[in-house]
Amino acid sequence: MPRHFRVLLALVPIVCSLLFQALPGSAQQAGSSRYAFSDTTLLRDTLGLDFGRLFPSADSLQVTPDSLRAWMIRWRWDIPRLVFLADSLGMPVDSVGPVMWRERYNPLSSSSTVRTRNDFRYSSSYDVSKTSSTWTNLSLYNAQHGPYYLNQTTNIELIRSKSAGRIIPQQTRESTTEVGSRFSKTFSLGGQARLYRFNTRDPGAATGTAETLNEFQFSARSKQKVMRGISSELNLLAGYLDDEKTATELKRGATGKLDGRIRAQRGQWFSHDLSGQVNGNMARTRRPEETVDLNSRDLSSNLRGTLQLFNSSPYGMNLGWSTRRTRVESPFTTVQVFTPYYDTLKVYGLTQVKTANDAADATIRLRRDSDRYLNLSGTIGKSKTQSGTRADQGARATLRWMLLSWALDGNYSDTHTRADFTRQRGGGGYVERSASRSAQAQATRSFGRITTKLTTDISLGRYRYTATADSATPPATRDSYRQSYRVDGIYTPSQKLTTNIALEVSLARAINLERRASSSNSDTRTYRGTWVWNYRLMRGLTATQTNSISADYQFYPFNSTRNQLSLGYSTETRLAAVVTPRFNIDLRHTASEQPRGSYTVFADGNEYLQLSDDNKSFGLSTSISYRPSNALALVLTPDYTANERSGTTNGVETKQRDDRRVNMTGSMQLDLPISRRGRLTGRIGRTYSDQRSTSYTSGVGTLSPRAESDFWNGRLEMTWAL
Amino acid sequence: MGTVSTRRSLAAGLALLLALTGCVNPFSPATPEAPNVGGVVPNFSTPEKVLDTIAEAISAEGGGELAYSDALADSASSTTPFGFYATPDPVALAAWRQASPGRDPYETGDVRHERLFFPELMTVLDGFDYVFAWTTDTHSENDDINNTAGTALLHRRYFLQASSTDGRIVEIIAVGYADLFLRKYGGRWYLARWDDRIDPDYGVNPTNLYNRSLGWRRLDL
Repeated sequence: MPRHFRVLLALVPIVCSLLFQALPGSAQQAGSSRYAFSDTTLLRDTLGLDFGRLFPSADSLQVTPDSLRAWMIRWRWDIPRLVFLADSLGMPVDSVGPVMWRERYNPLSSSSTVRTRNDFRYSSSYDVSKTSSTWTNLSLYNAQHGPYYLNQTTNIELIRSKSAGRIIPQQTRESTTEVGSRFSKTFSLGGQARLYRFNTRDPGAATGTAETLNEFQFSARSKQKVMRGISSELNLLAGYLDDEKTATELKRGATGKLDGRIRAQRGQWFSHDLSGQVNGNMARTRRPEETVDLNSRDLSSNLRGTLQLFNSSPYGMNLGWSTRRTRVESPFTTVQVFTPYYDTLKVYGLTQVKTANDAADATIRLRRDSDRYLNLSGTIGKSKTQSGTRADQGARATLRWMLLSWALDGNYSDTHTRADFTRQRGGGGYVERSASRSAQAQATRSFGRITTKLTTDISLGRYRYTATADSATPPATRDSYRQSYRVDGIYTPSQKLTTNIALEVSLARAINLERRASSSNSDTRTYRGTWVWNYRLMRGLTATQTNSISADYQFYPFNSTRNQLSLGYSTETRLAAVVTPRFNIDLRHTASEQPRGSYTVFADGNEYLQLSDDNKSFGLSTSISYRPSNALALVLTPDYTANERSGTTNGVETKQRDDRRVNMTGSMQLDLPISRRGRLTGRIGRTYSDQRSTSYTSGVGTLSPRAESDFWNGRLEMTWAL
Repeated sequence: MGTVSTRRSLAAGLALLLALTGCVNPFSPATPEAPNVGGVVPNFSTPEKVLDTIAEAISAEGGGELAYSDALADSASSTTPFGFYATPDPVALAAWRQASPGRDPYETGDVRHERLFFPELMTVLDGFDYVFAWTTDTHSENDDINNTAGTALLHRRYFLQASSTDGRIVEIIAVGYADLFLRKYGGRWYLARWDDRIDPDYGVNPTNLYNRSLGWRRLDL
């Protein structure tokens, strides 16, 4: 019996005990201590959104808090609305926004009581960074007059990348227009034209890369209400394709796409979603420089299902599965040479690229309330590409429980993968079997003003290789091991003062098993301590200091002369001043020292640490922000850092290098309404950076030339709706 | 608040768990063999040393595979809490998509792809001697190394030269620019991100098809 099944079996009595005591409707106990160590900066209100229950909600939805916050800001929805929409649409919370957006332009989703409608939305964004700039223009137009509709989308993206002082432009233009008529609430017919243009200039070649694609298709959309609780959608696009890729192929012929979705729901205990898509081309194709056309057939199919059982009950099950197949044909030409007269013959053919992916996952949920549950899940998948085949399977158990006021969290996961790499172009030709298992446990409890957290985790990764071709050279087999223990404590004596101490011990081992590679094996033992205090000196002025100390012992089991120790001491002091509600100053000072050395065996036979180098860093930075209105904020961020590095030669410490750097960023943040229907949002700034170094050789310093950079960065977006 | 029966059930469950798993430690790593050859001696003590190790590893060809692999961050096997990302130049990606219909580009955050890429790179000119070198990116000279935060951003130009054993044939089989982001964890530095940029002197589709960027070669694995 595989070991992970043994563990799952062992959890059965725990499950039974949970089930016997599950009392639906019992009051939930607050597990607030569980979130005492969370990143509270995520809770700051912005754009009129409140993130009050972000951590419990993210936990419940099984997404990360920062992802949930990002979706809320992106779609400007609060948590209850987001959860309500996900529940009613029967989809994961991250899909709600895109689906709602897409449905705005579905003619069968528009209200039949509206006689005439005109929606126009335009957005233009400019994203600039040190090495590239992107200007995007998007317009969406939706018109309806009686049963007739028109949807038009145009997207133009212009990218300018800078590499080695030269500009490389890349331009993408796409326009999709659909005109049609809605014959009933459940059926519409129309036509669609899609025009796509892509151009990029290759600075190393006379010509660039370009694609010109035209598709003209007939469209049919339908919705069916098969019976109570079962609904479906079916859409068809079919027509003519003309695709011209200047570098690789020309393709002209018929194209089509059929997609649909069936949703079955029975009460609160059953729901099943099945969605699928098939698209393909039947076209004549050739390389651009040739004249002989070939018949090509491209086909892609995708089917995905999600089953939910007893979703609102104390126990439930989710089952998801998907299967995908693709086949794409592209033309090639080769020249065959016949001896003895060296006659040549051009051979035309089609390269066929096939891929396949199958995956399934299942989760059994046993839940008493949000602080007491057990989830058991399993995954299985298989894929096939040109590189070879790959099969994965895994299991995971997640337990959360409140016991004697302790909030307990534990999880165990075990995954196995077999990847078969086909021998091609001199590489591959071997099988990789890998296994990865990990376990983590966490206990949190409050003792009055003190909250503690104990965390431990352990993981092991195994990689084994078997050659399947005579000449193949598979990688060396290896194991990767890690374990750690951590204790955290927060003490809050008053509202003004908070202090936090953390101690962590960890061991990481890199183990190459074969003799050809085991000389680089290493064991790293890390000891780390952190002390943070936060004190409100007066109204509007808060000081925070973080002190940390660490020691990393790196041992080489087969090469003890390389054993080394790296120490680190650092402190960061921060003063945050809210001078007025609109004027904030944040001052930060950092100092750190990192001596490092190796162990040497002395005459007495003992190993002693000899320092080899020392790094000292100091930094001073300020962030001054002024918000004259809710629509505008000005931020100035000067930043100075100094680094000193010294080395030790024959026991004598000498300077090696000094670095001094100044960064200055001035930026403007905007959330500006433009008339009643437009809005300008984003941030734009300019950064100036200056650096100079002194390198020392035998104590003599050489000053480097000044390295300066000066560039715009940020992203601005203007949206306008009619 | 747990009841007596809850505690008894949990204790019984734990006892059964220990009994079923027996005395076998599921997290026990295997015992390695003693080494017989030196190979590339990796040094990950500073960001610059990591790049030196990478250069030595590629130049050592087959003997440097492990050193190269150890230089990379790896969240898949829990070696580091952060993963390794290798992103190609967007222009190279667009050109590769055109030249490779039906193929999907690799997952940029998959360290396994990078580990497969190393032996593939060695077969570009099989049997040739490789020399990999970093040089200064004269358009981005500022390296940003923060020892306190344990982060470093280095900008480099790279080229990989392959010479036949008799020295008659010399080809540059990889050339480009890289923005390299490194992070410190557990007392050493890891390469966490390689943002590849093409060298405009050679372009995406160079006249000599050997003069590709590593970003393109990663895509073409």
